Amino acid sequence: METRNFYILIASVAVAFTCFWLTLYAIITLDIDIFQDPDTVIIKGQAIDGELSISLSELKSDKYEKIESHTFDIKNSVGREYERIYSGVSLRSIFEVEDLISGNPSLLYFKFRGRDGYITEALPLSTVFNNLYNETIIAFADGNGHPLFEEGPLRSVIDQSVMPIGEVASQYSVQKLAIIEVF
Amino acid sequence: MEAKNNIQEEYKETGFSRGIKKLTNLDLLYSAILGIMGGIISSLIPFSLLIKVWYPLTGGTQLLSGHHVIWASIIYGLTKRKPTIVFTMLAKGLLEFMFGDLWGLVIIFVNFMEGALLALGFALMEKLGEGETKLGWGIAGGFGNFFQAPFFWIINQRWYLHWSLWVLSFMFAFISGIFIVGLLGRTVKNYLIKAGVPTTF
Repeated sequence: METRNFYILIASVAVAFTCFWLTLYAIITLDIDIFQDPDTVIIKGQAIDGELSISLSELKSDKYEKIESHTFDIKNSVGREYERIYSGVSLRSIFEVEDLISGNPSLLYFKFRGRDGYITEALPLSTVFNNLYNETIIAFADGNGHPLFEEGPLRSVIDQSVMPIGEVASQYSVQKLAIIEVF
Repeated sequence: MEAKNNIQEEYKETGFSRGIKKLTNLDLLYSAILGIMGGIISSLIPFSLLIKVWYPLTGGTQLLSGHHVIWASIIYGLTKRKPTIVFTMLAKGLLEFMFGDLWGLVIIFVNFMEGALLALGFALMEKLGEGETKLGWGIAGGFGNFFQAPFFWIINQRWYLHWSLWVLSFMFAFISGIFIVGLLGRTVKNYLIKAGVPTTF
C-alpha cells in the first residue's frame, strides 16, 4: 500500500472512531432513551411527583382539550416570521386535567426535550398558564390532519405571541418530542 | 508567402485564443442549468429523511447536506473555472429564496459562501498538486460544505445544545462534503464527460 493511501486510511478510521464514540457519549450524557416509544411523551421533573407518560392515542382521545387546525405564528432567529397549521392537544389542559402542578406556576419553569438530544432552554411555566389554551400545544397532525412524519410523531408548538421578549418560537417548536421537564 | 500573410490577416485573434479566461455562453448555460436543478432539489426533496430514520441525534442530517453543494463541484469539473462555481450557487440560492426558504435572503448568502469556499478549496488543492485527485476533490468538497453547519448553528444561537452535538454536526458537514461534494461530484463529472457532455476548458 502506498504511504499516501495508508495515511488516508488512518485518518478515515480516526474520524469514524471519533464519530462513533462521540455519538455514544452524547447519548449517554444527554440521557437519551433511544428505545422510548416515539408515540409517547413523558412529563416529569422536580415540580412533579413521579412521571406521567401519555400515549398518542390518549392525546387523540377527548381527555384533553383538542386544538384543531390552529394557525401558529412562528419566528426564527433571523427574524423571519411564518405561519404553520397544526392540530394537537393543549399543554395547559394536560397540566390541568392531570393536576400535575401543585405549586405556583409563575415560580416554575419547563423545558422540551426531543428524542434526538435537542433540549430547549427553560421557559417560565406561566407562558403556558397565563395564556390561551391554543397557544402552547403538543401537535400530532398537520393542517390537513395528516400525522407528523418527519417532524413527529409528536412535536411542541408555541405561538410567537406568548414568547417572552427576546425569545423566538422556532427554538421551542421541538420535533420528535419525548419529554417535558418541569422544575 | 505573401498569400499566406493575407490569409492570416482575415482572422481576428479572439479573447479565447489569447488565453483570456472569459466565461463562455456554455459556462453560463451549465451554471444556470445546474443551479436551477440544485435549487429545486434542495427546496423540495427532504433528503434528511434518509438520516432521521436511523441516526438518533440532532445534527445527523448534516451527513447528507453535501447534496446542496454537489452542483458546484460538477460545474467546476465541466468548466474548470472557479467563477462558475459561485454563479451556480448564486442561481441555486436565488431559486431557494424564491421557493420561500425559511431563511429568506440569508439563504442566498449561505449559497454564495459555500461556493466561494469550494472555489478556495479547489484553488488550495491545485497549489498542493491535488487538483485532479480524489483526495483533492474530497478536501475541497469538505471545505465547501463545512461553512453552512457552524453558520446555521451560530445564527440559530443553539448555545444550549450539548457541545458533543456541535462537534458531531460540524464533523458530519465536513464528511458529507468529502463524500458527496467531492467524491460523488467527481464521479458524476467523469460520467458526464464520458457520456459526451462537452467541457469548456
